[in-house]
Amino acid sequence: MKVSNSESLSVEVLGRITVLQSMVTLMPDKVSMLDFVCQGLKDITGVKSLAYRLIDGNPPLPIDNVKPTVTTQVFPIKYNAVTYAELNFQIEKREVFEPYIPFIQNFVNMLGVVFEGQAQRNLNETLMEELERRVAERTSELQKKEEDLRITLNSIGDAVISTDVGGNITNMNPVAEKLTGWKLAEGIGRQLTDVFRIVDAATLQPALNPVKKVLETDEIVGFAKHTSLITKNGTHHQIADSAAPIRNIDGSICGVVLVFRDVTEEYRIAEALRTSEEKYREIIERTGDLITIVDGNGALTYVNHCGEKIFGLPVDQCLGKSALEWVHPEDREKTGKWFDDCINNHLEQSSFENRQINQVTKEIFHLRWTSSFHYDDKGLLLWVNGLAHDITELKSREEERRSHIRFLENLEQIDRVIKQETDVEQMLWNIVKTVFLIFDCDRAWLLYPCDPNAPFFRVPVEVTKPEYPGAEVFNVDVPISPDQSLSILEALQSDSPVTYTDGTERPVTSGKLFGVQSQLFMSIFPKLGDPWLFGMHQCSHPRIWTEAEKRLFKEIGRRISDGLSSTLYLRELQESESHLRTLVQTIPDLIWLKDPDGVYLSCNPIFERFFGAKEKEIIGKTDYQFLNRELADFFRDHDRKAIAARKPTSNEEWVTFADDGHSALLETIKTPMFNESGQLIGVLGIGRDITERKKAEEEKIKLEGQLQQAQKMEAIGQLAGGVAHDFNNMLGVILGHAEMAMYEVDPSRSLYANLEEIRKAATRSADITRQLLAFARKQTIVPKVIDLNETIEGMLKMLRRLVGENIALAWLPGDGLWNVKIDPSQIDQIMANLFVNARAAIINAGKIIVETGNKTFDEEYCNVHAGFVPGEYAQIVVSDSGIGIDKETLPHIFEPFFTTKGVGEGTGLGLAMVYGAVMQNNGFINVYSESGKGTTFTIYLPRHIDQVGRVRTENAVEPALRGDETILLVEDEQTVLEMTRSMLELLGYTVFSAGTPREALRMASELNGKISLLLTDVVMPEMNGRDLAQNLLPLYPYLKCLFMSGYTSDIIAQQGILDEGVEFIQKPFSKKDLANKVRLALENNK
Amino acid sequence: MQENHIEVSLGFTDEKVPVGTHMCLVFTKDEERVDSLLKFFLSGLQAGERTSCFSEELTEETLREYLAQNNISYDERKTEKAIILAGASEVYFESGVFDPDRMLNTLAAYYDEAVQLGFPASRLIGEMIPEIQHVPGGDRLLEYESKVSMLLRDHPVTTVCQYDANLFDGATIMEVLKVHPKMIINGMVINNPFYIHPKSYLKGS
Repeated sequence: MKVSNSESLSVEVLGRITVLQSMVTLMPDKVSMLDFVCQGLKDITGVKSLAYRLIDGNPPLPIDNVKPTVTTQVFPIKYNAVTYAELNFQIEKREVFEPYIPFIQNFVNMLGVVFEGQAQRNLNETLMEELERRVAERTSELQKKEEDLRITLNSIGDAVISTDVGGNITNMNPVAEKLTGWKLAEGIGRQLTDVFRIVDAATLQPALNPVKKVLETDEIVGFAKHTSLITKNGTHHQIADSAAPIRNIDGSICGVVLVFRDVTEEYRIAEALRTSEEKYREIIERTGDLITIVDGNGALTYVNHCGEKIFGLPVDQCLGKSALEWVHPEDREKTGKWFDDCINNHLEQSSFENRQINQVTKEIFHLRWTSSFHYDDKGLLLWVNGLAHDITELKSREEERRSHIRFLENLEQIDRVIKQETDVEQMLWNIVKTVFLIFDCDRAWLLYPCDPNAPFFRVPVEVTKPEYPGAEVFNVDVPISPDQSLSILEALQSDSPVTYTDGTERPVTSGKLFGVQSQLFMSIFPKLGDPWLFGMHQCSHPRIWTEAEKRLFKEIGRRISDGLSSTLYLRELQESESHLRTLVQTIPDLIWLKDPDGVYLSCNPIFERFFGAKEKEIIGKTDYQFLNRELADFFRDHDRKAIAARKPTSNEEWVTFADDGHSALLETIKTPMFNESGQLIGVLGIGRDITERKKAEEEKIKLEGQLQQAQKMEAIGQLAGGVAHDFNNMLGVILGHAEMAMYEVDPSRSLYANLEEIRKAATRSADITRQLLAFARKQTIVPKVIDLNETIEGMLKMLRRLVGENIALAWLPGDGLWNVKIDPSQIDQIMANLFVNARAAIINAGKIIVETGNKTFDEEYCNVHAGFVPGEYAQIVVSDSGIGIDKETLPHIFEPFFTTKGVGEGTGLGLAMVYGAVMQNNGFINVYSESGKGTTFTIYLPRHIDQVGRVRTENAVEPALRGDETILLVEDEQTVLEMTRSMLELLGYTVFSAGTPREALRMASELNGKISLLLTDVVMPEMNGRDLAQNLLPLYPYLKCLFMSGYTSDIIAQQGILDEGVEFIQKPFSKKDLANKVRLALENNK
Repeated sequence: MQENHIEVSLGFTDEKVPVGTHMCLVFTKDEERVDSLLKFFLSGLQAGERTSCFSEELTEETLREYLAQNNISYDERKTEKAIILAGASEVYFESGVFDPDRMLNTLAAYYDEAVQLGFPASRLIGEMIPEIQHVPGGDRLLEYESKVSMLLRDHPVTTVCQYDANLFDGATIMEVLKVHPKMIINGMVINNPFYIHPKSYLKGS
């Protein structure tokens, strides 16, 4: 704010200054005031800056001497000699500032007055506060003192009454109110004698007024001891009291204070004590416990009447004697030590037990002492009160109990040793060692045999202290001396342990090496073997064996006998069990044991293989936890049948071993087992693998059948051949003579016609005879080396005509077919007859396939395929899609004159001739047929090797291809399954074989992705091979498959069972064929 | 700009002031605060004005009793929306922040509503509490006060701002003087010689 000129200030400025002056006093303190003023003055004057400084000094700063400068001017704020602050103006233009100076000066003067007033007010307030504080403190002090006095007076245990010099009561505390029965308000102002009425307790005469006496004597006075106070209601109290003068500051008496207390109770207690003491004295004299008092020197100064019973001396003779005089010698030292320890530790009370000996009867008393020790101020022992309770009987019972516990503990220790060890030698050693420790003897031993007549004995077990060795005879035959013989005899005859020691009937033998001073021994009789002698030696001193020790020794001997019996039995049992177990473990049969509920109790390793689990995993489980329900039901049913029959029952079943998946035919015998009371305890099962035996039996039957068949065929052949030969000759005669007769007869004659019929019949008979000779392999043949493909190729036209138009003919010649040596007319006969046969089998329309190829059979293959001969063959396969041949018919098809056709429809010699022709050329035939599914004839003719031996042997010497993949083999024909499995395993494959498609599915699921190839038969009862492969696809999306069948692949394909192009092998096949096909299947599908 | 020729009584001063006057009352004793507050309230209600108070101390019960002694029903007037009683901190520091613009809007809305409700005039007395110096936005107190002076020209609410000299320092009190056109000293309403016109003040600050 600017001023109008330098001489005067505007109204507005003056207004502001006025407001400043009016409002500054509203500020609560100097700082706030100065903040307010500086802010206001700065605005008013427009100076550069304005600051203030508070001055808190006394004496004040010489601020008056500060001279203004052109740019600065300081205004002190002061009152009289005190400066409170200063305002410091920083001026820009002095001429502008000049007009404000008087007003500012007036303003700061006013501020000085305000500050002074404020300072005075503050000072006054401070002084007033201090005064009030001190008054409050003093008042509080006085109130506290008064309160303390009142509390003290009220809290004091004694009654207090104060009076003035005139004997008027001025105060009395609550105790005095209670004792006198007068309230303070009632008592104040009354004469003391009204309230405090006292009489002599004995005479009831009024006692002297204590106030009067104090005032007379000017001293503290006490009352007679037997003073009674009579209360307001007239009752009497025994009191003890005193009175004292109350003096002013100048020493003059201004009153009397009486202090007294009720001692009625004290009198009563003292009286009671006296009575009690008399009672106690009587009790002490009547008690059954010994009571003594011993002085500081340990001498008896008091003994009650029990002393005579315990010490055996009259009481008066006991006095003055040492407290240890009749203590048992063994307890004397510890008793003295206990006594000294109590004193040294300044114990006031202590308990202790010791034994005292009656000097007359020598009876020993067990005493339990409870003693209290009394000392003088310096801690020196004054006397000891002793109370001793006779615990002799208690001790005796306790000792008996302890002894019994020791006895039981020792026996338990021995029992534990016996139970813990099954090895006889170790058990005996442990027992003897334990006995040695229990009895703390010098030697403990077992001698065998305990036989007085035995020439030698041994000490198989012996434990000794080092200083008393006995090992010289350890486990060495020792001749029995006559003395020892007698000892042994005595032990055998005695029921109890025999002791030899000093004083016994038989003294111990002594000797440098084996000398003893005491011995204890007894015979023990295990249930197996001869008796033993069990004993202990004490060499260090003549030992008196206590009855308890003998009892314990005898009991231990009995336990050794039992333990030895049990352990020997156990050993025998273990050995027996071991033999049996070995037998069961090594026997090649499956052996198992189930409880009546079908829960497995035990099994042998072969059985483990069957379940694919260890015995411990099998035990406790049933068949249902390992087998499918159908098989488990079957086994369970068999178990029940055996149980119901109460005798062994047998069965045969095909099972699959879980460990490697192989199948086996088991002959199972289930034997129910009963305990002595006839109660069923389980079923024992024995399963024998009779697969091989059965196979051998079947093979034998088959071979016998084949032999019979061959013999029959041979016989028929010979018969037919022999007859045919002669008959042929006869026919030749008939034919010759017929023809010759015809030359001589005119053809126009009827006789000629008759001769012609004879010739025709003879010619026809000759054809039949020729066929018979062919069957009998006696037809005349001219073998030559031929290529079968060429020969058959040349027949095809004739063959097509033979089968007619409704039947399709497929010709599949094999490449590189080996040559054979055969009369070509025989191939004609074979093919013609097979085609006639096929045509007959096909109803309406169908298909015949003719294939050729090479085949090699090794020994291994031929071993399992009857009729096959090892070697290389060219094969002709003729398959038809006809009705097939049933199993009953199949064995007879090659028999001459066997036909399924009607009478006159066939001679029954067609296949017989085929058979004869093949056999005549050292070949063989395989027929595969199932009713309704067509028939395949495979003819194997030996490969012909030319003279220089140039044969294509590359295939023969080529090793079969091997592999290590996993193959799932499925074949319902068990023999084929086994043969194929063996072949594959020889080729290095891991094979899981299944007899049915369902079993194959289960296996595949369990194998969880491990299968690389499915090798399966095509035609099977449950489902065909293709369906099986389809069912496996979800589990094995990339599974490779090889199908096998006795039919050719074309027939199979034709029947829609397999798709074109799948891998296929025709049965029968050699190992090499199988190896190649398997590899091809595995590789091609990659 | 609106000229306010209507004069109203503050109740605790002898003078009447034009409606819409913005005043400050600096006090040191609590009785002074309470006395001025109650009287301001009473005179406003007696004049039929809409009356509001922002106070930390004044309770509804105290006000109800005081008004009843003067034959005015607190509850009735409150129902008529003639009375607004709120805590100062509740009004000033809503959400813990002092927002001058929000306050100015509130004040304007208060006036507008009073007009709509038919009140002939409005008044407000509020005590400023020192906590404002420590909340976010508290440094804009003087800006707010200065803007109030401007707002009241168009929204003429007679306003008394109470400042306790014991709780605000001297320099702040001096600043407070600069933003109130009138001040009440010793029970008198005087023109404030320290007052700086909002345009100048806001420009300078």
